[in-house]
Amino acid sequence: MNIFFGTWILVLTLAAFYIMSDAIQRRRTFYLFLMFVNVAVLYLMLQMTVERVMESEMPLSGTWIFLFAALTVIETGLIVYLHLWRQRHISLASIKDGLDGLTDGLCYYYEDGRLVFVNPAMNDIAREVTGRFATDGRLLWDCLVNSRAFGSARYYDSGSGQVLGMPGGNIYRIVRNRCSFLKSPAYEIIAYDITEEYNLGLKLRERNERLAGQKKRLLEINDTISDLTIEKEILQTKVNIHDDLGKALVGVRSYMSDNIGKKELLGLMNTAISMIDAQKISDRPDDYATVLKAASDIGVNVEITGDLPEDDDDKQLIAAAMRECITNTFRHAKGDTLYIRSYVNDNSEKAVRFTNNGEAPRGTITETGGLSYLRHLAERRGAGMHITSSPQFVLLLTLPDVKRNEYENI
Amino acid sequence: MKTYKVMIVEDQAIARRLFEMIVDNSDDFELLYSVESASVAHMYCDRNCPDIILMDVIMQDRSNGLEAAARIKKSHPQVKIVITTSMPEVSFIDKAKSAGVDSFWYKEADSEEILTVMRHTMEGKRVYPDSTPVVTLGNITSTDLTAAELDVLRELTKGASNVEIGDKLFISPTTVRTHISNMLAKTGFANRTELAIKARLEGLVIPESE
Repeated sequence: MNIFFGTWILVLTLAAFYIMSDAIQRRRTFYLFLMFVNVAVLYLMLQMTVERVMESEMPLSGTWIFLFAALTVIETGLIVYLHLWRQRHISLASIKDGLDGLTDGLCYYYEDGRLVFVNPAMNDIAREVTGRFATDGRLLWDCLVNSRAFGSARYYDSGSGQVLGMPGGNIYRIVRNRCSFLKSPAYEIIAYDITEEYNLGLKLRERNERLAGQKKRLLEINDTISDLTIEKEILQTKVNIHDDLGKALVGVRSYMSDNIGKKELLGLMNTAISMIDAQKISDRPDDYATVLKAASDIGVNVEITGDLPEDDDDKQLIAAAMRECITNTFRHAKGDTLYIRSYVNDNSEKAVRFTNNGEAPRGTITETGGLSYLRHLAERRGAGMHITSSPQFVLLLTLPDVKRNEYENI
Repeated sequence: MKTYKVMIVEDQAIARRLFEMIVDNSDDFELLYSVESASVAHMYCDRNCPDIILMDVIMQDRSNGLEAAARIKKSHPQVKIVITTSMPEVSFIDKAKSAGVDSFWYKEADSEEILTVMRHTMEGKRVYPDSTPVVTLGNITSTDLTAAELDVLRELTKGASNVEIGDKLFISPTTVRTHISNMLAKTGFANRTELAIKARLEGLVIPESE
């Protein structure tokens, strides 16, 4: 009998435990009610049985035994069901354990700042930012969004969200979202741990800067090699000239020995002298000088007002425009003078205006061939290009203020 | 005897003077223009078209003779153009043919005289060398590199990354890496920078100006 009642007490206790913990986990009032009913019924039955047995000292009737057995089965079944349910479902406690173990910071709070949940990572952040553990969600967010720091944490510039660097080296991206908790509006602050990505980004930036430097040096080497190649060609040509000079000198001796005629000797000397003369000419033409010489050669005057840009990129563009406009002047406009005016416009931009003394275009100008290429050059330079055809042809280029940075920082 | 009008487009004064003298000393050619930049060549043609042009490829002002030739051929298809260069850059011949250039002459390597090439050209013949001059690159010669490898090498001399080279040539960065590895293995150079510099020094590849 003692064993029987002892077993009953154990079953009762287990059942009550499972029902109670399940009620807490599932937060269902029904389970709480079930728990109380369960405990109450079992207690009453136990009490009645004990009194009956104590009073009559008779063995329990079959009905009581059946009732107890049925209840035992029910309670045991309930225990097994609840146990299996707990194994297949995550409990609130395990959720909390999981959130506490995150490296990301989490904070949930109501609109008035009352906290719902803060994990240890966010509490560390709160201590650095506010000087104490999180007690008010609004205060915490206010400090984060306004880049305030109590300790030695620092904020970084970022395109999206606030980025916070902790003294220990961890980097967090802070975002806030709206949510609700128990049907009340709330906020969630998430501090994503981006330490690894940030450090990788820094390494990548350093690497890219190093590569950009190498690329720049390689391009400079390219230019140097171009110059070297040209010098090599010039040197080879000078060697050939030296040979020609030698031939001329030999020719003089031959002439003196009557082996060659005067005409032949003069030819050799003329060649040698011409080559020597050619060495005096500068081999480095200026963009503007080349175009202006070409204009002069083909009979087009160029009148320039103001100072043309001297920046290499601008020069390339303006020289290209000069070429197109000179061609346009004699080919289409049947004119003989190109007017170029360089000035600073009302927007403080450097502008260069081209027009000519020829006929006005008949209709709107279609940008093909040279003008199309010019527009491509202008856009690449970041310059504006505008063409009008009435009452006369005008090409206007507006140059950018700042040189486009070829090696952009990542 | 008919004389043909010649325009010389050559940035180096000495070479330009040499061509001028060759033309002056001939009976069947006369000098019309002698200019130092390909960028203005079309202007002269628009004004007073020559019969034949001697056009250098790479100019000091970064203008490109092949591009100028293509432009002139478009507007003045009757003009004969002879490309003259000392660069063994392998793509020049193909580009010249694509541009419609009539003849191609290597300044140093070709044994045929330029006047002979000019005469053949005026007769309607197209005079092209059988191959580009062979240059040594490390342990190999330029003929040991494939066309694809040369394309990659050309972009490499601009300091482009594998991704940038792949984008330009429409191949994957992995393929670019493979080509570079193959070239390093063939030439024996230590790294891609050395490969690029040596190729550039030999004039084997010349990056296109942007």
